[in-house]
Amino acid sequence: MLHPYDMKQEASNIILLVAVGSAGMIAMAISIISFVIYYQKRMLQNKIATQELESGYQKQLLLTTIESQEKERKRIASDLHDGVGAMLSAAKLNLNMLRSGAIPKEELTDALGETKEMIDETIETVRRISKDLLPSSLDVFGLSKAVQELCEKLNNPKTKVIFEVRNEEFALSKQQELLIFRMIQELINNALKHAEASKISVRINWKQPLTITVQDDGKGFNPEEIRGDIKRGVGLYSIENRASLIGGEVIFESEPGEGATINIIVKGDQ
Amino acid sequence: MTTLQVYNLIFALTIVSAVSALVTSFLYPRFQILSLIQLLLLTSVAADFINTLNIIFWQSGINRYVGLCYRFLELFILLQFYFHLFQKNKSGQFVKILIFVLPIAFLFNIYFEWFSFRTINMLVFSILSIMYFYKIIKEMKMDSPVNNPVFWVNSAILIYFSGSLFFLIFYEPLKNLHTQGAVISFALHNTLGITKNILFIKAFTLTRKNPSFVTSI
Repeated sequence: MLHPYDMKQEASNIILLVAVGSAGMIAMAISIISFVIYYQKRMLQNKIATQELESGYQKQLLLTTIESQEKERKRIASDLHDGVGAMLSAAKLNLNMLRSGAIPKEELTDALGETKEMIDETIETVRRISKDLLPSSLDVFGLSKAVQELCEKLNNPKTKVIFEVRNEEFALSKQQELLIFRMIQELINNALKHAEASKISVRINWKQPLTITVQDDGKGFNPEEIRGDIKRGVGLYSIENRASLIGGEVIFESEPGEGATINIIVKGDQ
Repeated sequence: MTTLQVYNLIFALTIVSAVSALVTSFLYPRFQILSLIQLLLLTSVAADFINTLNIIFWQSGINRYVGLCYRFLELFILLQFYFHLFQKNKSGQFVKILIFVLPIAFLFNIYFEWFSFRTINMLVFSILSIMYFYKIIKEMKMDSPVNNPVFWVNSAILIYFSGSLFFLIFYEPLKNLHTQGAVISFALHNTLGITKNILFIKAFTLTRKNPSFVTSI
């Protein structure tokens, strides 16, 4: 039998234990609940910030795409007006003069020859514009041939554009061919515009997975820095977007002063 | 005010809060998972009503069999509640096992009295409620937990069962050593019951504000 004093002491100890234990458990429960609320709030804020950033990128991408399309239309309009339009007007003038008899008989042959040359030049200009829009060799001869022609066309004394192909070409879908062609076209144009390179090499390795490498010896850039700037990063993002549409990925390797190597890896159809 | 008067006041408030929560549950849109909580409240109010009648008319204390029935139903209903919450996860299998094992263990324990089953109850539901909070954090489906009724129900269960754990473990020894101390600790337990019912009221009122909460649980 416990002494009353001992019983009181034990009872006090138990009450203290119950009070401290329960308070501790309730504090733990409230901490867990508060943590869940705080954590979800932070996650939601991060989610919103990410969505806003992505929305900003999408908007910028759309604006750049529209800007690019307008530039292209302007260029085509200028080519048509200055090239085709001017030539056809001159040819028409000649034919009117021939019909009205304004040209003397002895100069008739020369005038007809001149008019024919103007029409030939017009046909050539139309072909060139058409090829710029969509190279026919892409449809007829495939990706390698189209890229080869592109490199030959863009090759200039200031910047050499070299094309190399390895292994046997295998079939890709029309969509894949066009997207890859456009990516290569954009990468070469970017290098010509910004890199100040003396040499740009384009290499297609037709081994699974299909690997396209565009390399230049220009001034290089910091991919992460470019990505961080929405306006400047849109070009990189656009190429990555196009690659992802065909199940591919793009790897940018570059440092300021070290040139740039861009690898596009695509899992093509066998 | 004496200790007994304080205890009686808190006991009365517990009954009032349980009735309020039950009435609130009928006023707002009902969803299957919250109907289980409604059933729990109904059981609680019924048990309190029978005990009150016992005290008033037969001058006896809390009826042991009413208490056992209530605890059995509380165990079963809450296990069903957590099974609904975890049924799409691996934890659902664990809760399914508990649904079979615990009620059987409870019935055996009434006869053999091997261990304090209420303590096990407290531990099981504290763990299940923490597991549900972990699920919320991991799955990230709940954008705003404060607007989700199930979040508040789970919080109520965690606070009530974890807070009552120490009280339950030491109630019997304390009752034998210091009756007043036992009464105070029981009053604290009832305070946690009032908190639980208030959080249930909060949960039911949110069903109107956020009727699509079911998709995020």
